[in-house]
Amino acid sequence: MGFLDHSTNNIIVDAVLTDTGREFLAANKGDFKIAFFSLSDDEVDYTIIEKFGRSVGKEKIIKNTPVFEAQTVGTIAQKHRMLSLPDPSIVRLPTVTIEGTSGLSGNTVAFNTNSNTSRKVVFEQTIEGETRIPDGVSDTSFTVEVPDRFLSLQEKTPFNIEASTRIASYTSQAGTPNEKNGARTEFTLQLQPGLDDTVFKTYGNQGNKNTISAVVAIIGDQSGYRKDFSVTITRPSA
Amino acid sequence: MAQLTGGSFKRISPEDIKVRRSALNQLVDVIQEDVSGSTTRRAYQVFVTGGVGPGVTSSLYQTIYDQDFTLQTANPIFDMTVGLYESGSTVTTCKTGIDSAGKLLFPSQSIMMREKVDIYKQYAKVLLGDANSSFSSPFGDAAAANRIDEALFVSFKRLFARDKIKKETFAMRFYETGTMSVHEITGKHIGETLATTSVSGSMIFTDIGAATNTQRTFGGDVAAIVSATDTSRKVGLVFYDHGTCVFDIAKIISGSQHVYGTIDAMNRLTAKALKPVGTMMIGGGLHNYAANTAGATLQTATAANNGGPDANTNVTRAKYIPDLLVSASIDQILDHFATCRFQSGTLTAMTFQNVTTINSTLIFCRATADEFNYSTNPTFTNTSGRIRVVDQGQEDSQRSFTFPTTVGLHDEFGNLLAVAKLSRPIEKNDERDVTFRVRLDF
Repeated sequence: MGFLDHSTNNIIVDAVLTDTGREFLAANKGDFKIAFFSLSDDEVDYTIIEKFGRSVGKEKIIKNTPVFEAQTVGTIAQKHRMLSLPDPSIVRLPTVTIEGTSGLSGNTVAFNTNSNTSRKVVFEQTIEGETRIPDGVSDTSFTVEVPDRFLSLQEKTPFNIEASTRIASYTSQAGTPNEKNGARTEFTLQLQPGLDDTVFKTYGNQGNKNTISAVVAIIGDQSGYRKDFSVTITRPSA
Repeated sequence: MAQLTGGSFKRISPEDIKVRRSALNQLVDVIQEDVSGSTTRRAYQVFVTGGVGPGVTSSLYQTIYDQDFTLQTANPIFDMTVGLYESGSTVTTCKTGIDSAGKLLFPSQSIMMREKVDIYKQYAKVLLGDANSSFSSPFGDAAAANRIDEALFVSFKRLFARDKIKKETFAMRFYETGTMSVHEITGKHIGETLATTSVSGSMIFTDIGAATNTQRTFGGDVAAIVSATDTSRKVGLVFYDHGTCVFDIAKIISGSQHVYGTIDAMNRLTAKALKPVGTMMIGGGLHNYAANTAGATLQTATAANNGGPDANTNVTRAKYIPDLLVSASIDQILDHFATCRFQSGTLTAMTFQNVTTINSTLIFCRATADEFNYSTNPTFTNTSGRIRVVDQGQEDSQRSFTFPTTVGLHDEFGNLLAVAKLSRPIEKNDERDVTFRVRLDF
């Protein structure tokens, strides 16, 4: 994707259909019904405000942030959604972690075709310096985006598999909130059966064809809070 | 996916969704080289004769591309073909009869006569609603002089015509006069005139006046194509919705001019020395007349100027109409028009504007002052979760702000159906309402 011409002040924006949008239109079942909008700011780096101050920082963001053209792949078109919160004086927002996930090292969950074919993932919102996560941020359900070629969610059925990328989307319901009203969900990722030599040869890492690397994303359905983490799938040497 | 109730989505009310229709015009410009060039003009050899000699192969139409048609990036601009009206003078004077099955019969010196008649009928059926009716310019005129007996059809591809041709935008530069042969004007071209590019008689044919003189017919809106220098001279028709122009060949060329050149024929010998087997010389060659005088004798096969241009009087010498249209294959008639009558240069041969009708859904995404002032962008907070855009110690006086760059449109279940991008980030804060007008075109 290239950058958009930012010499215009036009606020009319032309939309492009995503894969899902096109699929719904083609299916002709009346599923293409726009009901909500959301905003996102994937290109913006807010650390500029911290570095240059609110006045200069704002100007730098507006003038020095080229915006990419629209993406049609839905799973990567909007990474970080914006939030509407009832309290305008909030100064802290929750962070999301996957601590407690089995096989986790750093931000990577490791699988092995022999010994560790499934891993329990724990996703949790926490907040520092506050006693309670603001209302409107605590999610009741999550979407888990998984590379369907290699992984699936145990005992769950995806509600969508993107045809071009084979990213499967599952819903995982939140459990009881933690003591700070943080949402929490758990699910088990398992390796797809039939990860054979062909799969490893095709999708294996460049330097080591016995390891496949991929990314799993957990997104709060209501807040849009997102956590991406890496997975590695290793097989015994071929 | 779960029902959306949370803070990152906002429901769009029905009154914020508007549907409207607009039209987009694009200027299409076809240069002479594209029409005349052998690499940009594609022939499809689907007609093959058997019998004497190597036979004749030809297309039923040719396609003009904007670049070498063997390249994958080439775009077809228009198709071009010729047709003859079954009851027109060219067909009736040539026709020898009709067989018991209703098939038209023609002498063996003619080529593709039935195909030329069939093409005319096909266009008549689609554009006039009756395969047996005839085109005339002005449209529907009953006068025999305005009937189009010999037609040049130009059908623009949908890629360029889009939904239709815009009225009063069509123009074509065309050379009415063929290359003069030595027998028409002393000192003129002594070689074959059929394949020699025209140098005089350039005319502009246009649909000027169509805005107020359009008729609605079976094939959609139609108006006359006229000569730009004399708009009372109607030379053809343009069917805007169908993207097709029908030209009266008798009016766009000087049909009575002497034609002289090599054409494919059912001949097991050559037309003259150095010519390929299976060709003949139209307007010359074997048995042409020795002098431009009444009663001149026919040349024998061994005569000195045998194979040269016919020197007979203008009355009997071969002409573009009807001789070329009868004796030449569709390919060779089109080759003549494309290489000679459109000339070969960088000038515009044809131009028009197309119309694309766009149905747009305008969606007004209204973010009020207290909405979308926080972000889930990882850089929005520091490692301890503190919002970066509010200075430490200024929490009482400063409020959070964001810079949206993207608008996502979702269905009831959160599926992202469409994405719109802003040309630059726009500040959104608690003192600012922002309305994004998102246009979705279909």
